[in-house]
Amino acid sequence: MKSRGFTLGEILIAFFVLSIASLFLIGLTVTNLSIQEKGGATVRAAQVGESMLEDWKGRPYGEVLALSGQPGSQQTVILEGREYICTLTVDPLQPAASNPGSRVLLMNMNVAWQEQTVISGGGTKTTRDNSLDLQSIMSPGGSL
Amino acid sequence: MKRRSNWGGILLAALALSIIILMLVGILLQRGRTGLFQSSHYRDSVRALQAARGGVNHVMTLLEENAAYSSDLSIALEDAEYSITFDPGNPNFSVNNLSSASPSTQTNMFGEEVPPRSADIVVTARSGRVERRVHVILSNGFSAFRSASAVGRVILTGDVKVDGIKSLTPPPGQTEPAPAPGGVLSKFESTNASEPSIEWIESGGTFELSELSRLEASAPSGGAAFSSNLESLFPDRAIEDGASDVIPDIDVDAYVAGGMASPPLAGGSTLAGYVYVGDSRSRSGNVTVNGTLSLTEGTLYVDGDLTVNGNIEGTGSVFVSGDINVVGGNTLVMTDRPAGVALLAGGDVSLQGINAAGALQNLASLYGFEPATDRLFSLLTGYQGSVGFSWVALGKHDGPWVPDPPASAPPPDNLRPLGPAPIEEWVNPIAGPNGGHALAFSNAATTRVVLSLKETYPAYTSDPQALKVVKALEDLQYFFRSNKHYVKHDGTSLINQAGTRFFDLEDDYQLTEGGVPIAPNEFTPNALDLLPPMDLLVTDDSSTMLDEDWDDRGAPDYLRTHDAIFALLGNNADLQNRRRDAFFEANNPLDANWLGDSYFQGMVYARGDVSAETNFRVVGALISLGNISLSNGSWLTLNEEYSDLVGQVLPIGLVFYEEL
Repeated sequence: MKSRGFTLGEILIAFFVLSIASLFLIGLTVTNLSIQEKGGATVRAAQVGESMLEDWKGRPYGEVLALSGQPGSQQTVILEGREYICTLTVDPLQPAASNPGSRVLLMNMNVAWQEQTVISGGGTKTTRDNSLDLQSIMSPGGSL
Repeated sequence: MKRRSNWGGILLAALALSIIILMLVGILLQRGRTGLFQSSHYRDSVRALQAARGGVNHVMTLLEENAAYSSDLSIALEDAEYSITFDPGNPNFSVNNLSSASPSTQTNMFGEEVPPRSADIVVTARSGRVERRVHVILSNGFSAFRSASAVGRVILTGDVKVDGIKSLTPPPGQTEPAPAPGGVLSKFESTNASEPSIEWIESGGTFELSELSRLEASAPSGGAAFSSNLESLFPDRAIEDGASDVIPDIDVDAYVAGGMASPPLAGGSTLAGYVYVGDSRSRSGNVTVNGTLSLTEGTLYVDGDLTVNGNIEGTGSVFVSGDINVVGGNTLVMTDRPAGVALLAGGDVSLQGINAAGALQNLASLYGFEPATDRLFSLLTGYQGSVGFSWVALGKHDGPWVPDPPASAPPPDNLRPLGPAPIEEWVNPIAGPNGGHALAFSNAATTRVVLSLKETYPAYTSDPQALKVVKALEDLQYFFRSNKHYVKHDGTSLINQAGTRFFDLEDDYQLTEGGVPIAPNEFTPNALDLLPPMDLLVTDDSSTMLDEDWDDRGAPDYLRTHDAIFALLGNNADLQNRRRDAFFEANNPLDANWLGDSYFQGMVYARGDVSAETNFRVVGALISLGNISLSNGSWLTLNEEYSDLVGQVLPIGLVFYEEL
């Protein structure tokens, strides 16, 4: 018996379905990679921020106190090719009732970085701003 | 024949393909979700940990403000929150025992008692769905506790020894204190290789670093952390970039300002003899103590400089806005009585030891005496010719002293002036058993001798040799007071310099321990340590004294004779001179081996520099926001028990940390 092959129409339909599915998968993969990249960048930003906070906490109290109410001290860290801009702002901890003499300082370390996104097809690159904040406390007698 | 349809196979293939695609989609979605969760979890974990550690810093400040602080605390930050509770009903509760000198009655969350002057704190922090808990023990004192810690450089010259002990009191059954890590810390970031953070200038000396001790320095910034000789000597114990601990910045001026409301310290700007401080005292202006500054749980605030020509002893704290200068120091380390003083200076601290043996040797050389055989008295007699004081003046008597009294002179008035002027005051105002006023090197009598010398020759402070004589006498006084060498009567055991018994020979010649007379046969005093009663030692019955040995005279065992005394009394000088010689000779035959290093027991904190020289041994710790320099024989023994030395005065430090 002579078996009948696929018709051109069937093949075209199959290719169409596969193309749709592939596009969906590729899109999902790209999105997934983007999510992972963003997650990785967040982790690195948290590491950078933690490291910078620890560095500041190791400095004399007076040096940190001098930043209180100021725009902030900015430093740039480049990690795995990405630039992280760290900005430390310092203010007396609130509420004042829990902060006798306003000597306890709230340190806020903002870590900002840019994320590049490639739009498939046209190859257009766009950037998206990201940031992360870490807070800690510094006291006059030294800081943990 | 009817043609079979392939649509079923196609459908199955399509279904299989769809399932595979859906699985891939699921895997990708799951991976993305997991990655996103992990990164956000990590971020929240960091936030929570920073908040928890920040909570520790926060509560440290609250406890410094109020050592009895025990209110619950809950603080919300932008992306996290932390809380501390002292409610034992909460599973993560804290216990504040900072104000207590004994372990807490309330156990901590683990059922353990909280040590004295400590706070057991648990901080719970949350960020997102992450919770972190930090458990710390805070204590009054320093977290960075080493033999010497400096923000600046540490420069050591000549003989150096660095070690540590847990306590001056040896463990049960042991004769030596248990060792502990000592060490030297410098946070100086050297920028020049010729100025290392920690430097040892050998000068023919040796450097001993106990096995547990380390040398730690900040990472250099183009310079060197250690001098090359230290790196060669201690390749494994010279640790670069190991100086992570924070040296606390204590506002000494603020403490002094706060303490000036205390009652004033009595007396003028120059104080002589024993200056006792048993509570809080203050002084505006410079203070000089020629003698002993003795603290009994006392606190002295000086808004100026403090100079002590003698020693600082006891327990307590001294806050000085300016500089602290200690010339002399303790002769011996006290082991069995509360001892440990915190010196805190807004300026510099200088500790100058005296090499008493060397001083006497120098005197001997100066006047051509032989230290092994000549007497201190002779030395002083030779010395008086150049400095001008007289032995008569030592007794505060008027009138000239007649060296050869008539045989009918009333006994046993040694040093009594026999000239025409009336006697104004006895050196020893307490009458002895025979009604006389004999001299002995009892505590009070020696003090009087020293003070008389100082009063008679005020310029002694600017005369190095006279100063040394005074120091030698003061050392002698301290030595006698401490009485470190004993052989038990049965001869089986020796209580050496680490011994734990202290005796005083009272003015009435009673031998006492803590004010209680000791049994006469309990100890046999080793040669030259204890005098027998002076009425037995120096008597007007010269024939008896000269002919018989002490034992032959039927004296009790504890008054066994000493060859030195017998030899002294066997000379052919007149009785008056023999008496006069006796009380010096019997105590100090110029065998000055027991006069040695100068000691300070406690902690020294200076916002400026700290220097110690001339065989100065610190049992405790040196802490400086400036440089530390030690020269001419230094021995730094960290004593861990001094970490709690000043109770609630010093900043609260972290002594234990764990993440739960």
